[in-house]
Amino acid sequence: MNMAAHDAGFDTPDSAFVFTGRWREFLPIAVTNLLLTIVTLGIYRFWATTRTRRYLWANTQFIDDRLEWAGTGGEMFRGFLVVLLLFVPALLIVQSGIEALAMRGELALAGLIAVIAYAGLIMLVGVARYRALRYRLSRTYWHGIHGGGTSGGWGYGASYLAKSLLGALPLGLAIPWSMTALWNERWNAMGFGPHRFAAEASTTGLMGRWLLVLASPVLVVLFLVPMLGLGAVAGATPSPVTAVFAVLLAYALIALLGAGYYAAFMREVIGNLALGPLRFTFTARTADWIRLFLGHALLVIGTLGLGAGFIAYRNWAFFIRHLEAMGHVDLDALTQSPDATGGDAEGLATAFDIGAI
Amino acid sequence: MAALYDGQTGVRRDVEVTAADGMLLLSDASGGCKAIPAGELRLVDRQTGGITLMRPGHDGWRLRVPPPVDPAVDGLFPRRHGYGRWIDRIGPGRALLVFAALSAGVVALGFYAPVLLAPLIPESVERAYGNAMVGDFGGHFCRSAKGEQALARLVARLDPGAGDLRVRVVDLPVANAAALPARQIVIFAPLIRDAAGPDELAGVLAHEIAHVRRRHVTQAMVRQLGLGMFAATLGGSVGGNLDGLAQLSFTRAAEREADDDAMAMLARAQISPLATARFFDRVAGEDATTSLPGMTYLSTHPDPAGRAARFRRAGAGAPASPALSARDWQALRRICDGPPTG
Repeated sequence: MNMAAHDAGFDTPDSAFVFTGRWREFLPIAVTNLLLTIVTLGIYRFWATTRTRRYLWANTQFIDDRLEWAGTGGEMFRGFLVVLLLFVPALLIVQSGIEALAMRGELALAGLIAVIAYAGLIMLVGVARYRALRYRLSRTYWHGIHGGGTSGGWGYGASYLAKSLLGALPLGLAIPWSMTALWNERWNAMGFGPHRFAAEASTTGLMGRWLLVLASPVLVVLFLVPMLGLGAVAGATPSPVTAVFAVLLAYALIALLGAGYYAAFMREVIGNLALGPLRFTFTARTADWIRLFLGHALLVIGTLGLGAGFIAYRNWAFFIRHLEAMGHVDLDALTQSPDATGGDAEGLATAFDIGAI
Repeated sequence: MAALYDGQTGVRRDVEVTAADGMLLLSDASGGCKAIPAGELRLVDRQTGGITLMRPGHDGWRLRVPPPVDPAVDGLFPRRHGYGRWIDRIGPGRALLVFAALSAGVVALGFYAPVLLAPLIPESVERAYGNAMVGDFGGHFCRSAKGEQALARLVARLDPGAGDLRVRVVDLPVANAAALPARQIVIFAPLIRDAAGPDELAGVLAHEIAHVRRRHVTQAMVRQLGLGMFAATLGGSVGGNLDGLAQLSFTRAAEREADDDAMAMLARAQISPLATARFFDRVAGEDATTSLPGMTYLSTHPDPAGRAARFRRAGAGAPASPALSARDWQALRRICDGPPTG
């Protein structure tokens, strides 16, 4: 067969990823997903997720071919059931144990067990994030090749617990460190085809914006309280309108600084991610993120919550539109991933209701 | 031209696809030809007007036929709705109706089963559950003979047939009272310490006795094990919301019932409900975070200000005498002064 294309290359970065979805096309999927999820008391949500991803992946073009989501609702449901059977009894025993101890006046012991259980829960959240990412890569096909990751994730879970605690301890100053370190750790264990991801994000460009986030309560006090105070000095007590306005302004300021940090974080971590010969960049700026979140809020409020099914669509479209890749893919060398495609299919992650990235 | 990926490498081969005798024939420009039985292939999707096929057992093998698809090829593979196999099998419209009916049934069952099942729960099961839950309160029961006698007199005045009830005072720092499985009622010491008089305690006690008599405790037990379990597991957020709704209205209904019964009890015993109204006024003023975390049977009471108003209305013009004599009330207030026992 000599008509094979052996090399897929591109030099203009903005042509690598293209999202071709249209919201009118997605609407019937969102509506039927919502209806079926309601009438099945939520059980359909695994199949709803699968249909959504099938559409989003199929409408994502990378170089010369589209992505394919190969996961099934059934496997997600089964993964979730397994996690339930393992963890819910444990959780119930711990919970009623704590309750029973507290009722017997053993408050110290109850507190100790509660702390240990809580730490265990944080660790499980770490494991869940790891597995959710691995599952998504293992079900993502391009040119018949899929991704994957090192199995397990328990070491990552322990690291997640430790780094989350360490990051928060010194007044939250080390949170950018824990976030980037965990991102690197997670992605370095993942791969696509024969290649491993190489994640080398650092905190250098992040600290300034993070300090602003930490200082935001101080900024609110510095700028908004005088505003109210001046009103009080100038005349009578500040009117309720001024007070509401000040509170809204405070929220807006904190949201703005938070989005500013998150935008820088995503640019840093994706900008320092490589896969074999490919390098990635992420171009979303603070204003883009704010538009995304405001859009989400308006969508959900405007439809009284019915539009929530479009959040996944908007997130994905946002992500793909701002994602760029540079380099050449040698298709002969793009062999099948050695990582198994099994696993708990996001069971743990759905149990905790968290996403992959 | 269709695209063929073999799943070994990412190399794409362009092939011509035709169908004959239940076989798919793939031929490329060099004249190479391959026949695969259609039964060995499975449809992945039809999203873009074309079809994508996979080959179970060959990870990553994909044949992507762009539109327009040759009807002879297309006809070899079933047209599915793509909602998931179990929905496709019934059809989406019928699935909506069937599952809506089923879900309504499940919710109704979860809502009413506790009330229906509560009388069927044997006393021994209830006692075992109660013991597992609270045990002996870590030996914090208050014991003083005079205090216990006074409490017994108060209980008997409220409910003349109260011989089967077990009412005790527990010295733990919670300003509350609770009805527990197996006809137990506990009053936490601060509730007595903070009470302005015996009438106030009588109102709270009557409310808890009503919970026991109406088997609300057993219903809550069954509920927690039933619908609560479903909501916490399979239901996800939709189930959780439904459960929250059901739980709220269930306990609110129960609380209202218990309040009505308490008012009737107070009237029968000729105790003024005004003190109870003042108690709720006080609770409404305080921050309502005095209960221990996780004490299911104590939470989700209705708004105390509204309850105060109802008790005040009930107390208008009825004859009344103090719930306990001054001596008994003093004895009850000192019930925790001695060494606690189990």
